[in-house]
Amino acid sequence: MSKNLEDQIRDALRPQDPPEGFAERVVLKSQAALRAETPRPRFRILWPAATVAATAALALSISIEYHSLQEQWAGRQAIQALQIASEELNTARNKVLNQ
Amino acid sequence: MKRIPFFALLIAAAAPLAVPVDAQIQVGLDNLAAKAKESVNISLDSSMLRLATAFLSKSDQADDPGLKKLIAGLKNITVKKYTFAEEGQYNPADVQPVRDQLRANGWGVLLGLHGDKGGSATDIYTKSVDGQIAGLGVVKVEPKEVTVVYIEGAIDLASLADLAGHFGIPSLGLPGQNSDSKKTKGVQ
Repeated sequence: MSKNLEDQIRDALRPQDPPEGFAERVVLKSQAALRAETPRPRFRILWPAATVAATAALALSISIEYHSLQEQWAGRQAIQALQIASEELNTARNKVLNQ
Repeated sequence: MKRIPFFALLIAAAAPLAVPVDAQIQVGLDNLAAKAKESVNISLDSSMLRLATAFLSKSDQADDPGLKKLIAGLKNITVKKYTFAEEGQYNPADVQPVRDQLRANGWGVLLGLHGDKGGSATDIYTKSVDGQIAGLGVVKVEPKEVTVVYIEGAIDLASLADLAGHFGIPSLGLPGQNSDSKKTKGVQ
């Protein structure tokens, strides 16, 4: 009886190889548990979106400013050109009238 | 009030000579810039003139509807003005191709003033389409100055001449000139 019990204990304590795929399952479960516990970093999603939005806003702002400067430049050039044309017309007219 | 009849008479006289054409005149003359003491080189196509009109609508010049109306009808403005330190720094023949192009493209001579002093000459050309002025060309040579103005588009010469006294242009006080036009406005 005591020998039978001793054999049972020995059998129970005998090292056994784990079933096939045991190690992989343990690793996968631990990783899943870790992912579930770790809070998702929101900034990883927000940063690219914020960068795109900021770049778009900057590009729009530069475009509007450039357009405004172009308008200003064209307006002043047109006024100067018409000034010269007007001056030449009046000078010629003056010469004719004084002849 | 003498201005309108003056230009109207000249336009009427030149109209039979004018042939409607759409060829673009190449002003050139860029070689003169290097020799000049001062130079003005302005070239505005229709898209730039649209921007200019938009600017005038927003700026202080908006209170002058004549200027906006004048620019609104234009398709192209080219102005080249070169001032030289001394006489003989340019060859008057350099300007001849501009005159030749204008004549070859059917522009009529509205006014020609030649040989008043030291080789000075001023020619004013107009292009006429359906009896309306559709372009203005001015070629002026003086011993120390060359000016070429080339404007394409519907233009009212009386309104253009009336700009004298506006935007810092000193009024010449010509007979018949509107006294209102003697006021000056600084360009922003």
